[in-house]
Amino acid sequence: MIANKKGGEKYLSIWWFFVLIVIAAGIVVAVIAFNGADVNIKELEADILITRVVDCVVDNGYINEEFLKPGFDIFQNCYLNKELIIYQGEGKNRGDYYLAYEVYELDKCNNDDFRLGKTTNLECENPINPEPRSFGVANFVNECKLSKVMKEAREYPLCSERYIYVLDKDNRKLIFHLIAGSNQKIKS
Amino acid sequence: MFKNKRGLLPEEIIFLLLNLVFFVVMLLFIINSTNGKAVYEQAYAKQIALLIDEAKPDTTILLDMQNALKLYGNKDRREMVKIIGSGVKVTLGVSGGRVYNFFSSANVKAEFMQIGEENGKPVYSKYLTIDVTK
Repeated sequence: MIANKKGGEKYLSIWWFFVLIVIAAGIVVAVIAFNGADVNIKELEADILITRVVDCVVDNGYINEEFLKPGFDIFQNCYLNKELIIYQGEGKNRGDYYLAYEVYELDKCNNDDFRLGKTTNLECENPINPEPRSFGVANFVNECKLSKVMKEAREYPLCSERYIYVLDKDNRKLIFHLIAGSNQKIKS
Repeated sequence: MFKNKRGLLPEEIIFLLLNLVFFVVMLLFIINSTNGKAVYEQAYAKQIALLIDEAKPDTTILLDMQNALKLYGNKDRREMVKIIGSGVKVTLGVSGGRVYNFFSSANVKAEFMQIGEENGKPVYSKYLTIDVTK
């Protein structure tokens, strides 16, 4: 390739520049991949959202009666940013959050599951809290299930789910079920 | 290797210089990129957003920012962490900073407290004070 060339042509060949470009590209890609690595806190964020709601409407194991009546504004009462959480959007501008909660009477749930200490996927019916019971991007529920089983699904949201045993003012036994999801990404 | 009867050929000198320039530029790029600024920007923005989300109204949080301050240098600290709407923006010198939103609707203020003065210049605490109020 360079055998019959003389002087600078031997060294300053197009191939040498090609090698330099390949090396430079490799280094740049590696550095961008390192710096762009995402610290994933979506699940933590979803967990905090649930904690905020629970801390706000449950006091010493008793659920706030107002929460079970129509017209209770969870966002105003719990200092949550309504616009951010209820925003749904589409495509690239899709919302970042999902929040849903339901309150059931304990005897409307599968009691055996609860007595055995099962705290996930309880089967309950006829929620007693008024609508709306969910806000934000509803599709997160299905996408969160996918992201649990597909570790490479980094663009998918992550959710947190909790079942809490609470009482109302008449000491009625209730199950407070909450799901929250987040798909927020850092912005430049 | 690169000598003829007159010594080093000009083309060979150019070749050596170009190689040297290339590898020095690459080395500087790597050193500049791996000081962790981008990673710290992201980590602090997320950490502050989570602290705000978790805090009940009327809470004051002190966050040790020593690692970020080392990278930030002596620039104006008021520009390092900013609350913009419902987002935290942390800038350590990488392309305009990183922003992460918090879902709390409480009023949030984040600043470095001035703890004294030295040669007429303000001296700030290494702790970021985050005030979350109703």
